[in-house]
Amino acid sequence: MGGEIQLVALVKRFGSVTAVDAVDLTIPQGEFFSLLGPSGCGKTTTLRMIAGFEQPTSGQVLLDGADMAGIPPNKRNVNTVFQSYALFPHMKVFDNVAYGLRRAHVARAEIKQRVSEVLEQVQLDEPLGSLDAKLRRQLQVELKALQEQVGITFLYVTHDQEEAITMSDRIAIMNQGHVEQAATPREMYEEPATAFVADFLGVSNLMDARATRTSGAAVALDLGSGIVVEARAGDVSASGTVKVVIRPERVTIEQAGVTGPNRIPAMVTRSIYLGNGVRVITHLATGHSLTVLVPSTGDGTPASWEPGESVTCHLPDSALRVLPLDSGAADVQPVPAT
Amino acid sequence: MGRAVLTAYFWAFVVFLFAPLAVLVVFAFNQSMTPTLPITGWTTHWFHQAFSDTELTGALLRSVGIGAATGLFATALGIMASVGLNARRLRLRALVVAVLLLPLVVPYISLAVGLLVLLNQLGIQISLWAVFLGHVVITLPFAVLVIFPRLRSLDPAMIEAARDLGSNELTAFNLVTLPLLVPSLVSSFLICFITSFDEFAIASFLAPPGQPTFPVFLYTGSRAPGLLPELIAIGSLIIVASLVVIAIAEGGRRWAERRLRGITAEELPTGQDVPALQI
Repeated sequence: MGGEIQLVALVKRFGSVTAVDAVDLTIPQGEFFSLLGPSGCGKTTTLRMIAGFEQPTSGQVLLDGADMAGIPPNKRNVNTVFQSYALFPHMKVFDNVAYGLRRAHVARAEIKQRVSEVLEQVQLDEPLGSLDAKLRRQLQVELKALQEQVGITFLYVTHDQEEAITMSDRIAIMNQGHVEQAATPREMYEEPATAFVADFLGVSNLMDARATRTSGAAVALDLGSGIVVEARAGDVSASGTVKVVIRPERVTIEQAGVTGPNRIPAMVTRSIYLGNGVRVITHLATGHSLTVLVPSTGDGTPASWEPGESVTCHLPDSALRVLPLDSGAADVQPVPAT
Repeated sequence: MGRAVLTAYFWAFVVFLFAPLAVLVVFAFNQSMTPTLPITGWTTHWFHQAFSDTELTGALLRSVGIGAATGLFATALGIMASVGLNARRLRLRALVVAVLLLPLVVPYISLAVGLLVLLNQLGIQISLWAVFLGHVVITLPFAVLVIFPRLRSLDPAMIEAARDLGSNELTAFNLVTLPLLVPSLVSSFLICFITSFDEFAIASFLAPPGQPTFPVFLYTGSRAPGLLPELIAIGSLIIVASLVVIAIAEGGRRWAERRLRGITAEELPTGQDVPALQI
């Protein structure tokens, strides 16, 4: 059946702008792969080069191992779903659906049968505009199920990270034309390779720190104001200035005055009730702002922390992740504001 | 007060525009040889006489023929020029546009003289073909100005979708681009037809003796007093025919636009990106 996509050192320049900068990716057959990133990161251009609407400046697009250089879109075994849907306004619904089948010279009777089958599943009186969040989530699950059932490769371009996480087998996060990281959603979330990825995917607490001493699997980090914590995840052999990241749900809030390793005195600045938990924003003694997610407990009442209250934040060493300082970190805000 | 002035202005404008046409239609049915008031009696005699005048009907047919040929050819060239102009990369785009639109600002009389000299130099006898060529030159800018904006407004994703679904460039053009251009092609044809039909300077230089186009025939005929009533009758018929054509064209355009509106990109909710690509 096939369906493997391979990108080799793919580059696309528009004038002096490098839209796609040396992208290497291999997407095996049958995988649901998402390209995720902010607008202008090059994900759409990458997609367009695979479909054949743009010619690479250099590098290769391989489909099932065959170099696609100079192959027009109609000769490539890929199909694109357009953002604007690109329905032909001068054709009836039937003819729109039948277009591809006709070009593939499918027999008339078969076209009729297949299009009718498809149209039976479409509720034409349901305007697409009413796709609310709930229905959208439901469709995501169905799309994923369909993809698994048919076994075709999906390359999904989105800026909606929840969508990407829900549906994808693997995700690549792009930034300024290059791939920051390509991994499974779980790896991407739990083990971000760069500060950009950590910040882009979900909510992260990113802090500047100085690696002072490395001892095997752990590194001591000076967060400032003489407060030192130990980190056991990420680049533990780093030295000098680094970024350290921790997810809000990995931090625990304890009573003021609790001491111990990786515990930092803090003050609650805001407390936001979320339904399934409480988001508490604290101000650490180091000067950093730290967002903590306190989940609701078994009896449905999340612990309440009032603004102004003194607390202790526990940052477990296994959840503190050391990241190299990269160029992408420059446009990353240290900590989300809310 | 302001409203009264505006209303008066509007009606003055209407009278200024349409009074000459109304006068023409009224005098077409006048019994007298001379178009003067008071009208002495009504008759359809001049219409009968006009249609039995073979010189007149010959000229009319010549003009209709040249107009139709000009409309078709200029529209075809206009499509090609528009496709070229729509290319993402085009060297000397400004120059190409300037050359295409140049006939708009060159007086027809200069073009006529130039064409005459050129044909002489090439040893080609003036003929109705020369008139046709001259008319294609002057109507091409109109064709481009009508077709290009329509082409530009088409969603490029539509053509890409056709290509993606297995059409080569030519098939995608024939099945998607061309049908979507139809309203502008009809407009282009009508504008080019009318322009050619109405054109005097080039035709007067290039139409061979004994084969005048209708405007040339009108001009020479209007100096022979005996012909005047016939010309008035034909002129009023042409006005009515024009109104009918315009009404049909406008009706057709509205019908086509309603049909083409269908589901278009702007009516649908869109995300920020192209959603998916599948193998």
